[in-house]
Amino acid sequence: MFENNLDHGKIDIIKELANIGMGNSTTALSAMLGEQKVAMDVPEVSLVALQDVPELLGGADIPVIGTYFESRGELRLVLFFVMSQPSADKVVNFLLPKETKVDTELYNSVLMEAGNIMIGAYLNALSQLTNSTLLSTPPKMAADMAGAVLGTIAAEAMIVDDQLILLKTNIKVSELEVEGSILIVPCSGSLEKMFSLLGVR
Amino acid sequence: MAKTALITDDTAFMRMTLRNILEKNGYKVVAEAGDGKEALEKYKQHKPDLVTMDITMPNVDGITAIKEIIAFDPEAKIIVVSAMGQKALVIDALNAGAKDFVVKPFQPDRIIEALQKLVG
Amino acid sequence: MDVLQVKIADLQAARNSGLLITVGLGSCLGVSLYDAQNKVAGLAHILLADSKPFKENGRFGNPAKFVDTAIPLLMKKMTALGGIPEKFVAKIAGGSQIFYSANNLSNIGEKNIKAARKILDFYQVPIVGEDVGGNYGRTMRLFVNSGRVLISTAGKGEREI
Ligand SMILES: [Mg+2]
Repeated sequence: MFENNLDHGKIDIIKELANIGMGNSTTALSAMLGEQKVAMDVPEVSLVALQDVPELLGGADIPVIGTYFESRGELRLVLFFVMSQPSADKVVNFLLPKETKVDTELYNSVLMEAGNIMIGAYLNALSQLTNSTLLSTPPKMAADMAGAVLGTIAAEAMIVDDQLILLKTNIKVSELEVEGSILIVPCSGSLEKMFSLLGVR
Repeated sequence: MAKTALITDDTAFMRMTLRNILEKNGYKVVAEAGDGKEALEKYKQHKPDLVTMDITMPNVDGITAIKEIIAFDPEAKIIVVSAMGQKALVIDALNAGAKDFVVKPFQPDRIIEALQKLVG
Repeated sequence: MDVLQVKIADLQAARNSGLLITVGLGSCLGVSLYDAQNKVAGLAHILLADSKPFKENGRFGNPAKFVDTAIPLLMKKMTALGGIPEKFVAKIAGGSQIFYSANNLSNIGEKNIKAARKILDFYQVPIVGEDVGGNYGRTMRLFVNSGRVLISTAGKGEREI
């Protein structure tokens, strides 16, 4: 299923890094949400055709809302934190002080900052593990059909590989009834770079 | 007289959060900036007692802005408040002249502690 | 009715009857071509304007990703089904800007639209309908027997172009 240079050992390493990084993200989210419990599934690593990426969110026509980032340091990664609209509403309501007048700019900025903090936490962990510096771009946000959002991200990040390696982790905040996923795509060459930073051959 | 502060962050939500904390603790927020370029302009204009500085921002990032503000005023008191807590960045920020580094997400106490250490 | 799904970076052609549909065009551009006389239809869901930068570094792959390679390939597929390029007319949709950011908005959608106009003009295919730009996603349906193209957007209903 994977390219020759991605044996099971390497997939395990990718999974473990994702596990630690996502652990850091969920801890950050939990701290933001007043120490509520944030559960996280085991990260999935898969090789997906570019054309089929929207299926990972349930299909191209599913409405989603999410924040998107690129890491442009030593490793080039595309990172996307995605939720349903009702989940996003709950996060925004929780994070804003009571009786705040919410306009679109403020609503969007809450989600962008929440995404920024979660993705930042992921990159902080990965930075430590690989002994490299991983900066992120400022957040961008969209609320639209999964196909439109993911297609636009692929275009923005110039992901033109026909097959891509994709890491997906689902998270859940039971108390708040919030569910979401983080999708991460290492851009061409970044996995090789990561293994070399880790000293894995 | 109340101490004055400039808040720098690219998201309105974080600017609002920091404003609430600072105002509750007796600061007068004299300006907000959405990127590093604006931060330098507002610093020159208001000469605030304190600056909070995000790192990941459009146009001019926080580390660059710290360098520019310190070049203008070596006495500037800047606290970084960023989601990026990586060692190399903390070192860069402190070398550039920042006085403290708070990693997001933070408890309000952590900001207050940084203020007290810095401005008293 | 036979329904052919056109995915991201994909193109399909059909003859006589059926429906070609592509769901969720954001900055991506939907290009439909139609030969009314021979009832040959084609639809592409295109990611980026220009293949050249990727040809150089060998990451080119599937030609349906780029405006400059997808349109000629779609024309070729339609010709193979009995279409005549001189009869082709085009309708385009998408190329929007669905991402919001503090600033630094990109213009990928706009570039896609511009590139499509240029390539279609080069092949002398007139654009007879369009619904492009804006800040929302679109779904595009092309009816093979009539060449009708319907565009739908969540909360904005459906319109024919
Ligand atoms: Mg920021």
